[in-house]
Amino acid sequence: MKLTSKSFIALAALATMMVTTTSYAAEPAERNMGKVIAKMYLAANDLPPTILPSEVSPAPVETPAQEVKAVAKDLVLKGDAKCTACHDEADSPKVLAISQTRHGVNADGRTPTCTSCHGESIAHLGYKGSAKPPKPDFVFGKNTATPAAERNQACLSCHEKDSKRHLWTGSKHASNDVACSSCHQIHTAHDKVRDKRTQPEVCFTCHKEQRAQEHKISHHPIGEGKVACSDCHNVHGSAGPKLLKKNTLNETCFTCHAEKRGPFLWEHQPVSEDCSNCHTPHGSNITPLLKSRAPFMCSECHNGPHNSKVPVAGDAAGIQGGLSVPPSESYVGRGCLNCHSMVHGSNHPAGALLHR
Amino acid sequence: MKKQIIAGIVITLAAAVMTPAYADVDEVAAKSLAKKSDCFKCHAVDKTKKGPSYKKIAIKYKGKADAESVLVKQITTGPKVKLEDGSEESHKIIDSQDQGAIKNLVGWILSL
Repeated sequence: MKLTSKSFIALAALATMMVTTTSYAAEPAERNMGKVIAKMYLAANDLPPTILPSEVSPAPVETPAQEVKAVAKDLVLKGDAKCTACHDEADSPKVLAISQTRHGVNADGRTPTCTSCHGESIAHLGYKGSAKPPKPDFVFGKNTATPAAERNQACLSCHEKDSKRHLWTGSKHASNDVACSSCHQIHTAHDKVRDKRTQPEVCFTCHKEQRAQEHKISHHPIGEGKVACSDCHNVHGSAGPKLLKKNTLNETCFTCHAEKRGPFLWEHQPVSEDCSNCHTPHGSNITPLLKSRAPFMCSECHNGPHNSKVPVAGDAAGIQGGLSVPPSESYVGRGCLNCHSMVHGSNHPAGALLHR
Repeated sequence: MKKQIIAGIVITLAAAVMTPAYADVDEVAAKSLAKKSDCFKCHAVDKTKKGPSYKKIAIKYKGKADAESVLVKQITTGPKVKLEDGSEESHKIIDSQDQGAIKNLVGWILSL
């Protein structure tokens, strides 16, 4: 390249700068030098200004001088600009995570916006004082002053009609002021209570007795992530006892333990009556989830002589009916299940005594 | 050898002089106080919201001797401020009485 006199002057000036200038810029000195050389050369040769490759930033970083005046735009939901003007990623990124949930699907016409749940909140939006602004109309946090019924209404206005939630009103949870937001997190991609592996953590927050039982030797594999509370319970309201999914306890148990359902040729009455006559659902130290150990459990009802025609004798109602006579000595130390292995019922022609 | 030692000392001293005055700010504490006081509702580090970005503020007050006192006054007295959209409202008052924490926050802003 042939150096012109202008170019030579430019390079001379550059050399002087290198000696006298201390760089305070954030970029390394050698990168700045490259730019300076190129600019000075272009200027000296009266060439048109060109964008140098090194000036093209790899990522568009907004420098203060280039800041564009903020125009409130919707960030996630339709019409959310009035809220996200303040509650954006700089303030509370977690709020915007609603975009990762079904409540953030704008293509769905049913998708709500901020004010659908939090109310129009005119006092909150219009506040111009120097203290903390008033809260929005409906707040769902832990220490909120919004009553549970009002909070729930925000959800139920859409979710009440589906078959799993239509019995919410009057349910045990509803009547105890449990709110949807007590268990659910709306502004998060991973709602813990909707994941089988993490759901028990949420339920056990209140149901501590069940948490303790779940740690006993014999238990449903809840902690192991195989069974969740919602496999048996419909926490949003049910027609059955204890918010069970089905109308009765047995019906609920039989959804998994179908082989116990029957019908049997030879039934064991307490089995078809109520599984919880013998079993406890959340945990026991007597396998399999038994309330008591044989022969004591069996002798609660079977307290007549072992070989009699009426082994249940006078205590057919079991321990719940109140024991009237002491258990027969003939049961002491026996392993009932060694012979009566088909305690849930038998279809064998000779299975009257549930032996086979 | 002697010249090299002297040069080394000079460079070290120069580096010490050129170190920014706010290099010792506790950024985590500053951000925490800003978050607690809802500062990020109107300001962001590098984005103009209702109020100017902190970088813009830092540039505005760069080299001004009274920068710290002006900013401390701004966030402790709640004067009327003009927002980016042209409307006016009172500046929020910082949610702390701890002068050290307030100055740390101001120092962090000016260090940006």
